[in-house]
Amino acid sequence: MKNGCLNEQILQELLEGTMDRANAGTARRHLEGCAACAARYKTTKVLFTKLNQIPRIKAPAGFTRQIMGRLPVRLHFGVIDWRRYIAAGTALLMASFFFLLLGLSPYFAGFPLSLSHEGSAVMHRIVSLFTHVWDTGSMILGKMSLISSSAGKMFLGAGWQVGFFFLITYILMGALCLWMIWNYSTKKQSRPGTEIT
Amino acid sequence: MDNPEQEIIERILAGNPQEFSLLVERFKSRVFNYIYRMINNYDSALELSQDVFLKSYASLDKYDPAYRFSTWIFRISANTAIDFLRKKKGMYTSIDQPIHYNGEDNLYLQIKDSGESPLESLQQKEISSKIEEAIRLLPEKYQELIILRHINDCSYQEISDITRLPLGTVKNRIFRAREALKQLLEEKGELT
Repeated sequence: MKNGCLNEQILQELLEGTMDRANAGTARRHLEGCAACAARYKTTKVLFTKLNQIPRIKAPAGFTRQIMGRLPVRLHFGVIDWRRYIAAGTALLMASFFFLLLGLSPYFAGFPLSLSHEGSAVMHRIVSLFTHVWDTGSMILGKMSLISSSAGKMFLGAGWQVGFFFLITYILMGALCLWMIWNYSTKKQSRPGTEIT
Repeated sequence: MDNPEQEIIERILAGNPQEFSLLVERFKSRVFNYIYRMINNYDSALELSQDVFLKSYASLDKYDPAYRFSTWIFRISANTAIDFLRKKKGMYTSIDQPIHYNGEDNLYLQIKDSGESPLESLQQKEISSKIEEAIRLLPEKYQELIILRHINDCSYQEISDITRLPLGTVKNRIFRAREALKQLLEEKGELT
């Protein structure tokens, strides 16, 4: 403020009513006696009027309907799309079962794993279990074993270590599968969104 | 904090997506108006406004009820409009400092190339008032604040929440933007 005259900020605050009562009173008294400030005040007031008179444009008809028609089709918030995750989990389990058979294929092809000498007792039990499944066998297992036995010939000479490797893979994939199901069952369904910065 | 939209949002999140139409109805004109004023193109504003609502729907579970819904949706609108304008950044050219302030936060006016043909530009000017044209000459960050304050009738605090700028900065920038507008319009004899 120069020579007691009101600067632009004070004029704007006065027009907006954001100035405290005491200062506003002082400013108004000054305006009554200062033609220059009064003229500037009037100009600023015209600016405010013009700004507040800018026409508001309405959204066109059908705007809401268009948006509602574009809402992503999905299950509602907080509900899990189990079908998706069960399908993914089943696919993973099938894949891991295939790898298991592939890993055991040298055994199925007639090459003993010699687990009694080299493998652990746990490993022996697991293999025995699947051997039992094999012995009681279904058509499906029989067919899969044929495929896996053929593939297993690639591992001839590799011994039980190959089977052990695939068994570990099977366990890890099974664990991953369980983790996925658990994770998605305790969380909301993830949705594409925009990170607001 | 009074939050009249919270109940609607809860119903949407509980599995009633059709309730979203209530929010659209309530805010569509303000969002559309804001974006249109920011980008000055009707068709693009329409498309971006729809994007804003779709984004807000997709992120509804991230909405923080501590803020008003209007603040949140205007923040999305502001980001959407600014992103759009940034993509057209190469079309802005500063002119010779008609308005200059000391300090790092200088205010330069800009000539904006809207990408319109001369005829379209002329038609646009005919339906725009001088004040609207003057606002378009302001840099984006000033335009945004003036639009929020004077066209969308937001309070300073709301603008501060929307733009995530300190309240003092918001007030200062709006003051300076108005001063720039006043200078521009006075030169054209529009404030008499």
